[in-house]
Amino acid sequence: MLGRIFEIREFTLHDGPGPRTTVFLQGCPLRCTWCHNPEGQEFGAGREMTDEEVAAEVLKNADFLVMSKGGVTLSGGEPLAQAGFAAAIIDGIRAKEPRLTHVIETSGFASAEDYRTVVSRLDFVYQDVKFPDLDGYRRWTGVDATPIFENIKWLKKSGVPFAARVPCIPGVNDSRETKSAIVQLVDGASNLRGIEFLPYNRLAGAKYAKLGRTYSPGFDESRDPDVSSVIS
Amino acid sequence: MTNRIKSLLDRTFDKEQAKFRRDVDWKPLLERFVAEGIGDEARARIGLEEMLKAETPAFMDGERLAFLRTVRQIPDLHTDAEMDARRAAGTAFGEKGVVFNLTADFGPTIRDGLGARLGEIDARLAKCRAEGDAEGVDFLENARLSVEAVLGLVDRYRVEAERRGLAEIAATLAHVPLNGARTFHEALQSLRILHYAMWCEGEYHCGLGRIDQYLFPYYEADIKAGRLTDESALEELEEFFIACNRDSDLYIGVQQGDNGQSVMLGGVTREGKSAFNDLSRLCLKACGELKLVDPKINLRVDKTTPLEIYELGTALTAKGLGFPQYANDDVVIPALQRWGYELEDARDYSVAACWEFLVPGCGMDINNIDAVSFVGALDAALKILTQRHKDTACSFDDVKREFFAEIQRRADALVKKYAHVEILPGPFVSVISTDCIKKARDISKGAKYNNFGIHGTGIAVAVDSLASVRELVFEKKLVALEELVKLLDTDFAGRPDVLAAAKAAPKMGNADARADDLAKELIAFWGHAFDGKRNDRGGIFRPGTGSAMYYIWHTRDVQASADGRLKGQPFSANYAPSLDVPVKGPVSVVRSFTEPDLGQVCNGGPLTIEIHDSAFAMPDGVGKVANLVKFFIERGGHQMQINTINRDTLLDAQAHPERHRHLIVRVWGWSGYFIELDKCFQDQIIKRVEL
Repeated sequence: MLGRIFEIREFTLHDGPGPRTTVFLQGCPLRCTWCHNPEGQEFGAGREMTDEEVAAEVLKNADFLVMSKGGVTLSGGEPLAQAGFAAAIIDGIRAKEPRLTHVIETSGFASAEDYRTVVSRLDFVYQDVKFPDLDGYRRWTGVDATPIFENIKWLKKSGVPFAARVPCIPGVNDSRETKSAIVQLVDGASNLRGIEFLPYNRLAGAKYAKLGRTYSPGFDESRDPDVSSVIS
Repeated sequence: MTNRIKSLLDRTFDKEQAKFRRDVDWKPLLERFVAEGIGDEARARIGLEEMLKAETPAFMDGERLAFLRTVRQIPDLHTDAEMDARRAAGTAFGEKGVVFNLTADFGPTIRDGLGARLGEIDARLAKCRAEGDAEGVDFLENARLSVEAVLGLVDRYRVEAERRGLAEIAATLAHVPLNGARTFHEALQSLRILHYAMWCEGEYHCGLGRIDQYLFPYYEADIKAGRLTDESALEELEEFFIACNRDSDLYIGVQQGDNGQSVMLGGVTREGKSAFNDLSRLCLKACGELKLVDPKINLRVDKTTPLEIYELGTALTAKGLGFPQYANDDVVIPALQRWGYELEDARDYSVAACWEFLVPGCGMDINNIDAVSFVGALDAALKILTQRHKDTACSFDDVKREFFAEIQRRADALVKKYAHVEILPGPFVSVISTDCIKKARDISKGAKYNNFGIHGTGIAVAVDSLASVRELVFEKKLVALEELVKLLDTDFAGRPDVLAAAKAAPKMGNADARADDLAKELIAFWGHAFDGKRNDRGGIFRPGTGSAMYYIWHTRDVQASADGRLKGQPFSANYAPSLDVPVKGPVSVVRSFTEPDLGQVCNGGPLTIEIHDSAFAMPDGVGKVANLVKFFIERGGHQMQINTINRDTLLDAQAHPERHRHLIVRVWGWSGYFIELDKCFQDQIIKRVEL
């Protein structure tokens, strides 16, 4: 199966258990104004590869990944926008080397079927939760987030371990109230392993200029985001 | 860290000790040596005697381990004219000519005391006199006087300590180093004095060796007897480590920080048993707390080493210390054996000072006597080829053949250049080296092993250049060889397409066989370039993968290279991907750099990689990076060191050095303070690839 990716990066250290190889799939339906991988947004761009080629590239370092109890992380773009391709990559790698763990970083913006098809294959999910409500998503990411909330609901009951990742944007979603509402949204799931409040990537601006685009995130970039936890 | 240690640390870092220092003009002494025609052995002894006489006992408040340098200059023992005359007469010297880049065998003298050595000297002296061995008599008499000079200063320290009411120091010095140490504290004090005395004798790059082995008996006995706890042992060690940073700005080196105060931890005992012990652990802990550039930690590992030990080492990497440097017993011990070292000696290896492997006590190797520039050799080979093949085509095999032939010519020239090497004597260091007294000969006359090490510099640039020549000239036929050679002289002027293609050609470090196969061939050739050659001390020539400072120096002799490196741009340090080349990541780098058979080139020279400091932003980063080192070792890597850096921080440190006084970087075989380096060395580090 053919798909599009924009990078395969080895020795990624913040994308799951152990050192990992992260496959960045091309194309994202969201348009977060602070996006730090703008090169991954357009669906037509990137490099065309088959799932076998991606699997083969990852498996070149299988010995190291097995030894270090690491694995593969699918990121993007939005990896679930190419759900079939993503599933084929995971299956292809697992068939050759069952000891690698599989992780995804997703916005959750996908049909219920795509979401479940991929997530049910995974060892761990980093589920982005940018806002607790539809309004925030509509204003800052440009999508109707109904499927995201539906998928999160399913994820909480799926048994697949997950962490919620919250990119904290100053004045946008870093208030105590917003963060508490996000916590409430995922709280109570037995498979929830943590909620990470992360500062958004401030160096993203430079990438936009390279792509001939203007970076205008629409919030006060001079302010530090409040990444403090709201869980007491 | 206790408050006492914290205070000593801060004051040492702020160079409070410098207030005790004075200048001495040693010119009259040198003039006396020349005028009276005094011999080498006596000059070394008199130099040490005068140096120690000029020293003034000084103590920093709160210290329990005494001794610090109060005279800035070490006496010169020979004039330039004298040395030049000897060179003209056919004698070669390693660097300054004295004993250097050496880890002495401190353990036995800490155990027995200098008094025991004096007894041995006297017994041997009687024998030499009886046998009419004048050279032996000369050595032993000077050795005896040098020991007495050291003990003389110790006694002045003791008296002064007593006068000031420093009762503990006075009591310690009343016992060591004259007698064997009875406690961990005495052992450290004895080591401090022996090491200090070597520098005063004029030796430099003085390593400390396997301190977790030779100090362990004292530590263990004290712990068992309840005299010491792990906390108090840590405090003792930390004070000793701080002391290593006290006089270090007076030590000779190419750059500040390049002083060779290396420690080797772990590995196996002479009997082959695992040697990593509680003291090894404590040493790592002390370095992690102090965050100083000295001593520089080396850690011996092998395929059975548990991840936990790598993690202890990586915890130091995470603090940005640039060490430990890892050495792989599975590769190094067999390599040394193949080079003629006995198994027990090979198991006891340390590093001389940076990364050249040396067996303390029985090695008088000059491990860094010279270097072959692979980039220079390729440059010369291409020029020869284009002359020879003016009208006929040549193949890529011809290129490789000529390149290797040029390396061989350069290797042979070094063998000739160092056919007769003399080392200037060091009577005191001889006393604390195995067998010198027994043989009644100075260590400079030779020890059990007398090998010379030859660095091979610019490996990645040479390999990348070969790969580029193959692709551009012979595969894509983008440019003729003759034309390419001309372009190298002009930094690719007028042919940006060739430059771009050169930069895009296969590079070492990407697990790309089109480059890695060439590296394998180069290393295999280099590993045997000195086969059958001997120096006149009976030693062999050991090829290695280190660069020392030649990664800057050798660039002065070459134009641009075929990999797209422009004139004047530095090589990578040691064994590392070329600067500014795109690499996939550290796993591929490790894969590429462990393809060659590194057991053939075990003089030393670590894979040197740079990791961005964000790798350690999360606590599990240590385990992840530790796995990378383990992967290197399990794939047959010989030696590895990791820098934790952040380019933005380094650039800020160039702009605002005062804000970055504690910023440490790994330079070539040592860690130094970034702001104390010359700009060319700073810039080279900034250009290294962050993974």
